[in-house]
Amino acid sequence: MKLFSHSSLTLLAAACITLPTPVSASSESTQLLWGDTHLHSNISPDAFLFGNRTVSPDDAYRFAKGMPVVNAGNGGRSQLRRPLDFLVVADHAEMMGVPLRITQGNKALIDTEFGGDMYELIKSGEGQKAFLKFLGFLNRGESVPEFEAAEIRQPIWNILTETADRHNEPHKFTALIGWEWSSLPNGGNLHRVVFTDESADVAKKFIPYSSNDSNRPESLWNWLDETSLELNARFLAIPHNSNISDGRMFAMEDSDGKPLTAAYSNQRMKWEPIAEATQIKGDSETIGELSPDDEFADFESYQHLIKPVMDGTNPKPTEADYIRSGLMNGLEAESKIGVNPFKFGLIGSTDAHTGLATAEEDNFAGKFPFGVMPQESQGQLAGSAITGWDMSASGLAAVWATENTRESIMDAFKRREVYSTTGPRMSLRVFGGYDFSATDAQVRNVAAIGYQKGVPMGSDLAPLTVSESKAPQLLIKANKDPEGAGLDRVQVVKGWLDADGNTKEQVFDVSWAGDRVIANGKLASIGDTVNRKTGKLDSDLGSAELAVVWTDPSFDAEQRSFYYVRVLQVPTARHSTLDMLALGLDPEAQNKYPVTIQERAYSSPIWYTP
Amino acid sequence: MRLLSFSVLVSLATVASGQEQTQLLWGDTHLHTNISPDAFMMGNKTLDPDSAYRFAKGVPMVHPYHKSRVQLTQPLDFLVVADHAELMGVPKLMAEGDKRLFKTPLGREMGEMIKAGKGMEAFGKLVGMINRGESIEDLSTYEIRSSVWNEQVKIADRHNEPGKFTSFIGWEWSSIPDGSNLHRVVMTPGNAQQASQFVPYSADESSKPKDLWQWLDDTSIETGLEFLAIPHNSNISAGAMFPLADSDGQPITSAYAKTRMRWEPVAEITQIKGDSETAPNLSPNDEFADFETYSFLIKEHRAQDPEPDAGSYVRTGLMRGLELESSVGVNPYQMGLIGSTDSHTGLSTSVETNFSGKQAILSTPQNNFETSMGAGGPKGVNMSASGMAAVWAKENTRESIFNAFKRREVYATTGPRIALRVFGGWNFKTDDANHKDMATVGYQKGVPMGGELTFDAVQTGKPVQLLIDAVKDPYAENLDRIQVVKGWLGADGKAREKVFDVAWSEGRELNAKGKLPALANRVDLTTGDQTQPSGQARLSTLWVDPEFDPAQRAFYYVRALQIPTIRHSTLDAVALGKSLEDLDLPLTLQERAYSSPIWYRGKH
Repeated sequence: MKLFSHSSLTLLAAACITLPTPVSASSESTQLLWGDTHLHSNISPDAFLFGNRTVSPDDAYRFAKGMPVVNAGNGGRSQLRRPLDFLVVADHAEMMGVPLRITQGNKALIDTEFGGDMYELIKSGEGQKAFLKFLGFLNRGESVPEFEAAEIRQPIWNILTETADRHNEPHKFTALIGWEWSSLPNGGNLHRVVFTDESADVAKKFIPYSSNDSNRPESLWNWLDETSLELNARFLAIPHNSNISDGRMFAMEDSDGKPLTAAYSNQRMKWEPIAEATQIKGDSETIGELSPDDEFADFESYQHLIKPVMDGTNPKPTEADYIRSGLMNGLEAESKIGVNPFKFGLIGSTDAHTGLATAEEDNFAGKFPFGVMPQESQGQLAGSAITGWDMSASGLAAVWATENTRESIMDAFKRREVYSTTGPRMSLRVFGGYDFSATDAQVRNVAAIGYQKGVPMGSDLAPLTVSESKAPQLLIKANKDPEGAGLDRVQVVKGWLDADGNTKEQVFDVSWAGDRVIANGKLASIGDTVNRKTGKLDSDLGSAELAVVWTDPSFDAEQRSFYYVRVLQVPTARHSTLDMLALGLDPEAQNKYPVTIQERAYSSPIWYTP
Repeated sequence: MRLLSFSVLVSLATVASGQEQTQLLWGDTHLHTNISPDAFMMGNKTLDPDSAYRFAKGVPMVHPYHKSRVQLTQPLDFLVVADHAELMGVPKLMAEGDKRLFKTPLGREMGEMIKAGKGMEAFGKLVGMINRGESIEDLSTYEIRSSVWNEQVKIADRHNEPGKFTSFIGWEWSSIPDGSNLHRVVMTPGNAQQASQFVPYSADESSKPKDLWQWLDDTSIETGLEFLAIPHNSNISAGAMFPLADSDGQPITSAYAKTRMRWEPVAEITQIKGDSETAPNLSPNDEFADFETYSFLIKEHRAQDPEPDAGSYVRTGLMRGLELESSVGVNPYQMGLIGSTDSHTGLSTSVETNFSGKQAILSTPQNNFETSMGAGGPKGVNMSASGMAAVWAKENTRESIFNAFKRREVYATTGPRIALRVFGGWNFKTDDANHKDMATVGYQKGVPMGGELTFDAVQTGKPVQLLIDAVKDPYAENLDRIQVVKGWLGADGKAREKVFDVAWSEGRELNAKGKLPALANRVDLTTGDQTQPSGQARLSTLWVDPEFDPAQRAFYYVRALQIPTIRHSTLDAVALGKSLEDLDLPLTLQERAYSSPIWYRGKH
């Protein structure tokens, strides 16, 4: 074990300087770890103002480790059936801890105009109004200087970092120090979770960079450049909710409206090798308007921009708003400027503001604390057209790491050997190569062959010359969540740039449960055994394991492409359905929320570059 | 009906080999909803009988107090909604502004208290009135009682799905003379049409069990219905549940014993208000006797609660039965055993991790620790997340389950679904314990739990044997050990008891004193997880009584212990960030199953 960690450290040093390089390691070298990189506690101003007065960062770690916690919504006891392996408490850097301090009577804060208002609003139980006012500041890029004073921020940040250190138990549970940079120009969400694998003594040397410092991602990256050099520390920024970025997250121009450059791409990829594909505020893989031929595209779609008035009027989705089209934009940009600015791996995380990392339909404790109660979840969020049922009970970050330590997990993120699920713990191995045989998918230890003959998810395939008559293969093995439902199918999503410079996408069904056949290019639906009264499965459906070696049938060695794997679970009841049943409502008597959903995993892509 | 149950007994005894005659069904015979006055006044405004049945069937519900969504991982097979007969539905009607009630002074006073959010005080006042025998007639006219009852029975019928889910019509007769709990759950296999011929007999009619039995006698003759009465919480009966004299102070007679046994073949041994198997002062040699002990009498004003008495516990009750049988000729306490919840939330939850409180208001960690039931009374953390009724029935129907109760082929658990088979006989072979189809052998060569062994069938010189098989709950932890509890009547006419360890996990050996060492407690007190695997998934054995004396009356029941697991109060304490060292509560517990006994009547 020590040897591995040494070799991966060496690699890491390399990964910091150059683009990530795949690990050439034996199968024993990676284990599957489950975590959440995006959890808010009562230190986040919106969490506190929306009712999370009590679940602190300490409670958040305790809950992630499997301990019961009193939830802030109704005072009930909440506990995870299966604890997490790692957690990033990523509270907003803006107004960090301010409502908590105001409630505790901090005079400097209460003496400001907004602080005084907030104190009164919290006291009269109208904290949500204060939040909407705060949103206005964020949207306009304004702030209250007293709220962002170092005397306020530094002590709170120090507590956060010390709490993370206290809960970090190498090889058992990893607590990573992080925060959220919450840039929201005109309601376009450019949020990034930032984390480091350093400990509190290093992290206390800075105050988290906030959107009050700048709401431009380029400025965040500059700050990361400087701070990492100064402290000799590693960082990572994870963009999320591209689905509500108002066409900005994977745009082909920078914050000033100028075309992307190789320098932009290099800097972005240095800090942002990973994007969050799924979370409570919806799924960002793709959407029907962008992927009309993908019958599973409209999954947990959520298009409500974060604005003081969230009335349901939202802009149309663009290619810059979704992961798949973002990856495709990356190929196009690379062909023009030489470097791919959007060559990212994928994870899921919750973005829960309850301090409780819950991503399953039947344990979902809501985006905000009130979401733990069906009646409240049914109602609208203050000042908006959004209900708790519009939210998605998602997601989880899966990491193939050499060990459960801060360094090892950071390494896996840097080399993109991570993937995303919408809640269930499906295990997923994906290797790319040219020389797999069909039987390689049938062996017990697929990873041994995968690492030997190929590269894991997140990596690059070696380029081929036209004369070589090879095509990329994917060695895939998916296992169902041992406590969850069976698997419906495994799909490969391919994106490429054709000879005319146009981006293309295609979804292939590559392995599936039962003896269904593909007819007219379509695999029949697996069916739905969800009992409409209990939400439980009437009978088991789907496979426990799906494994296959897939070869690209339409490969062109001169075309840039990426491949990622999507694994679909059989239909299960959505959290809104369980809530409706609990409220005595008929989930089939409405059509606003799907009665059942097919939970899924998204692997990080593997790229082919001519 | 009695003929039918007799024929079942015979057919089981002569069952052809290769056929499993009974299946294991799980249920709760003792669940209250917002129709029970105390439930309604202590936080359960919303969970009605319909919701209770739906929850038992696996449908998610909104918890009546904390408003989260709650759902059973494993739905039940059967349920008795047993709301209190006294003032049934009345507080709910008062809160709804029922005109019939507001016309009366007491109705108006109570209604105003409930409306003002003083439900607890209103309940205390009512308990006081009932304890003092004061009239609450204004609140319980025939018109009100029958309208509420007719609704209850209709809902039960609507949820009864033969072969799939059984709902019984039932109620609770809540007699508490001077705080001494004599409560009985009464249930019938009859349907709504039949049951609407009467209104449920209540403690307002009489607080004497023999009057209840007389009413059951009369009503069964009038209506043709069968009934069962299940005494419970003997632990807080102040010695009155298994007495040596009847309610009028007269010695127990054979007539009393026969009547009691006709209506009360089964007792509830474990539930939320504690475990009634035995207590340390009664069974000083039983190291597992101090389990979920609860000694808070139900009283408005609390004095010192009495020490555990032989009339208050099931084991000593069974022993008294042997003594009385030898003196009056009939055993008045020859009872089988079940567990049930007595939950008042409408939610039948008895697992430590899903326990949602006795009363709805106790369902949050803070209230579980801080809210007392009356001044100096028990808190939620003093209560037990228990129990379940396990039934070996031929099919999942009202008749079949009722028959199983009548023949006592039922058992109790404190929450986990431990599958337990017990057969008594004389001619088992050691191999029979390893038989794949133990039940067939058991039924063929012996009698199932709840049955009797008679000397006539014995070849002289053979001791009593028990064929035992216990399998852990698939969703819960492993088993520690199986024990046999034997009670017998000595030559001096006094009953005695002894606990035998008969099968156990991890290759432990009995020590010099014949004691089995305790299993290491491997509970992680922060999460409730096991820090390493422990115990065994299945324990089976053929046990032969090493101290058998053919001349002595005896009973044998089986106690199966799970490995230690975390208690609900510990989970709440961790959630609240309390120091576990300062809690005056057990941090872990060994959940258990109690079989119904098998009796040997002696050589007479």
